[in-house]
Order: sequence, then C-alpha cells, then structure tokens
Amino acid sequence: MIVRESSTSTGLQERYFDALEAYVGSAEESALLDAYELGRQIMDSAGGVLDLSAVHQDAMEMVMRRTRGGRSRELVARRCHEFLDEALSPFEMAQRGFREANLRLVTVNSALAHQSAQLAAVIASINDGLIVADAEGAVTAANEPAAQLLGVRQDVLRSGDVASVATLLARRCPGGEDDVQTLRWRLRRRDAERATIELRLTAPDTDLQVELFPVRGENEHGIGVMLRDVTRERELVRARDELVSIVSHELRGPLSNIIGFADLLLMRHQGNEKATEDATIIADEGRRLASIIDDFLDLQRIDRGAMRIHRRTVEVATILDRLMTVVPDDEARPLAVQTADDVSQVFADPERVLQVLLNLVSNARKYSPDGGQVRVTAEAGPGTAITVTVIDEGLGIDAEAIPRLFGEFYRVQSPDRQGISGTGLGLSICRKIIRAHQGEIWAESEGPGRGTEVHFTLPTADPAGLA
Amino acid sequence: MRPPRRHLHEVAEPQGRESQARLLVADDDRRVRMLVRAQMAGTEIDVLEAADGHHALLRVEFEAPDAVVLDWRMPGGGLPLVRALVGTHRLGGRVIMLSSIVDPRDRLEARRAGVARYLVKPPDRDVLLAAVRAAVAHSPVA
Repeated sequence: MIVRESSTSTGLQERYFDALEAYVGSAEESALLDAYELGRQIMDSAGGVLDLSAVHQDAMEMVMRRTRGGRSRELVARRCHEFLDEALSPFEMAQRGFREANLRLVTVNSALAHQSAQLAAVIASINDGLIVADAEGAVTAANEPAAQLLGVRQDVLRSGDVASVATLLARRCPGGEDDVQTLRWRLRRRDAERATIELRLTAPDTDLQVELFPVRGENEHGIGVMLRDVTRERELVRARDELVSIVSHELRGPLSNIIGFADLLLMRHQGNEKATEDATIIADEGRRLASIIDDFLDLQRIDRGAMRIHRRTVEVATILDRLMTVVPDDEARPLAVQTADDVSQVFADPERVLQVLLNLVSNARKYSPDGGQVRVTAEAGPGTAITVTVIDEGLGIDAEAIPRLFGEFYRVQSPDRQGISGTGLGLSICRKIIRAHQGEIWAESEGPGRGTEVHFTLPTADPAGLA
Repeated sequence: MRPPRRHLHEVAEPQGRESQARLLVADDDRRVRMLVRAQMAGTEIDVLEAADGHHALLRVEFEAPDAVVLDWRMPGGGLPLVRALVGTHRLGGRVIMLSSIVDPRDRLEARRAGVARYLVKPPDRDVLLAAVRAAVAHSPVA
C-alpha cells in the first residue's frame, strides 16, 4: 500500500489508527508494514521528537472502543502491544535513546554551568588579583582585586589584552622600567615559564608581586597573572633590616674601638710582659665577641635570603659557566665542571645556587691543604631532579661527623684542620638555600684523607606547579 | 694620650718631604680618628681629620688630600660624601670606606657609589696601610 502524502500529523494519526485496527483484525504482514511506514512519517513530521507511544496509546484506545463482538478486549490489547513491540520498537528505542541523550546533555550542561559559576566565584573571592588570558592574549577572567591593584575598571580589564597589565603598571613604576619591560615581554610571549617579578609602585606606594604562570590547555596554553600586594611584608622586612643594621653598627662600633685600642696598647707596650698579656686578652676577647656578632648577622641575613629566593627555569650549564668565571684562580686546586648530556634545566634561583656552589668549592679547596682537583658534576636523577656534586681530593670527613656537618656552628675537629678558619655556618647556609628549593643536600666521604663529595638536588620543574 | 688637634691654618702648610702623603680620616667617632692616626704614625702618611661630611668636603676643597678614609654613618652621610669626592673632586680610586657594616649588599652599594676599598672596623694596621698606599698611588683617569 502506498501511503498518501499528508500535510497534517492529525491525518497521519488517523491513518495510523486505521492501520493498527487492520493489523489487530488480520495480524497480516502488510498491515504491519503499513503501520511501520506511517509511524516513521509521524516521527518525521514531528522532527523526530514526537512521543510516538502517546500516539499509539490514543490509537489503541480508539481500536478498543471500536471493537465489537466476540473478541475479548484482552486479545485486542495484546495485539496492540505486540504491534508496538514488533513494529514500532525501533522508533521508540531511537526516541528513548534521544531522550536519554538529551537528559544527559542537560545534566552535563548544568554541571558545566555550575562549575563555571564555581570557578567564577573562586576567582572573584581570591584576595589577590588574578587575571587569566587565552593563547591569543585576550583576557578571559579578571577579578576585582586585580582591577583595584591596577587602578582600572574590571570590565575594561576583561575586554583588553593581557599585555595592557604592563602598560598600566609602567605609569606607576618610575625607575622600574627594566622590570616592567621584562613583564611586558613575558606577557606578550606567554611563555611556559613561571616567573615572579616584584615592582615598587607609586600613587599609592605599593610593593607589588607579579607572578606569571602558564595555564595549560590541550594544544595551546594561555597565561595567568597573580598580583599580590606585599607592601606590609616588605615594610616589616625593611624595618627589620634597618634594626639589624643599627644593632650591627651600635654594637660593632664601640667593640671595634676596644679591639683597636687594645692593639694600640700592645704596640706601645712591647717589652712590658704583664701589660702585653692583659692587652692581648682584651683584644682576643673583643675579636671573639665581634665574630659572634658577625655570625649572628650572617644568620639573620640568610633567613632574610631564604625569603628572597626567586626561582625560575634556568639552564644548569649557565649556572656552571658563571661558576667558572667567578671562582678565583687556584693553580694547586683547579676547578673542572662536567654536565651530563641528559641534564638541561632546573627550577631554581641561579644566584642562590651559585652562592651554594661557591661555598662548596671554597670548602673543597680550603680542606685540600695539599692541593688537588675540585670537580663539579651535574647528573639527572633521582626521579625528575638534577643532582649536582662537588668532589675534592682533600682531607675527607670521619663518618661520625657527617650527620652533624650541616648544623649551625658545627666544625669538624681534627689536628690537620688546625689553622683552617671558618664560622661553622657555611654548610648550614647551603642547606637552608637548597631546602628552600625543595632540594636536599648531603655529604659522603670514604674517610679521613680520602676526599669529600657534597651532593645536592634541585627540581627540574616547579613542584607546586600545574604541570 | 690624645694627639694635638690640627687646625686648618696649620695643615695648609706644604709638607716637608716630597714622599709624604696626606690622608683625610672622616669619622664622627674621635676614637676611630685617633686609632687611624696612631696606626699611620711612623709611616709616610700624614693624617688630617674631619668629624662630618661637611667638614670633610671643606678640607678636601682647601687641602687636597691624596686619599680619604671615611665612615658610612656620620653626620652628612658617608655615601653622599663618597659621591661628592668621586664626582666633583675626582678622587675615584682614592676613597676607602671604613665601616662597622658587614652586610655584602652594603659593600656592593658602597662600591657602586665609587668606593675603591671597603674595610670593616677595627682596621688591621697592615691592611689599612696597604689600602691607603694603593689609594695614594692611584693615578686619576684622564
């Protein structure tokens, strides 16, 4: 049977009822196919979203009403259900699938909307300024603190380019042009390196810490900018620096005079044994006190230093090259540097790492009184870290002393070390610096007379990073 | 024993021997000046004294010392004095800072201001003498 074209779904429904009735009456294959085709047209005419089971329900009720005579209503109902199962189940299945998919889509959509709202709420509620830009540099999110710190309206910030952050800061950063230029360059390039830049702003006076971090996507990455007002922290540090400086001067000044005049007494009373002895005690005790004050100031400085570690991704070879240029010449104790092929970058403050290396190389030489080569090597591992080792052929260390080596004011006591001076602070300073890098430092020695190896590790990537 | 204080009109006299050199010690602590004077006694170095930056500049202006040893903290300030000495009076290479401040950052700041040598108090006689002799021998850059 050829189905006539019908412009109304009502007409189609009428004919569907007829086809159903025909099938119930005869249970013939042709009636089944007719109904099948009509069902498809009903689905099509409704754009595939019509609830066919509702149409079928209507048709079934109509067939039941029309049924007269001997056949029981139960039989008619069974036939109708068979029909639905056999002929229409493909449509219904498709529709049910569609409904489920739709339902799932709605759920996912609302979850996404919820997540998006949550993310927006998090960004808005952060006390620090946060700006996020996509791979093209267009700002995709910026919170109110960011706008306030930059002195611009939030909507203006959101509609701009991330490099405009540098432009806004440049106006308020006299004397910091180089830092602003670095910032501008990094924002434009949107490189994957984390970096922290600190700026001293005017109008109003603010110490601003600008932290840049990559925001990684699947194929491309944008950039995030964290703006932190560190004025109060820096004021405290400045006040403490000032205090330490004053204490240093106020204590060291009179003490210097005591030592200086005791030395003068010694010079002027040569030959007078008792006077010489007394003056020597005054001078020596004065020097001891001065060195204690200096050690104290050293510790203070290192604790300050630990707060000022500016880590970034840097080539190991660059640090070692600098080491070679700044280490003083020592013909009896030449320095050799070796970097393994699989060593490239570390996430570290190159100045601090250089300070550690200089300290270790200086120690290696100091405790090699008979000379010998000092080697610095860099190798990959353990894990993703890089291990740097300073090796000497000097006095070596007794196994018992090794665990205490990095403690403050600890110095190995042995006859061959007499006459080698030190504060006992160098290695503890090194440990503070390396630990601030989430690295570890340790020493190894096969014993007295067999040289020493000091190892330290540095991470290759930011351990707290998003990578 | 306190050495007799010298006055402008006294030290303005030309020095007796050609090999004598004149060192200006600028420090607000009289005892430091005394100490440096005692340490330079018996050498070819004659010591002039100034108790503050202003006084030091006056003496440099009128007496043209060969080298200057100065304190960081004194009235008028050590660093401004260094800048004036190096900038206006062309004493680059001839200025020695003698300070109680041991912080390396301060050393760096002093170096940047134009200090040729940075010594921590109390001065060791031999080290100070060597530094002063090097400063005196420094030839000004044309």
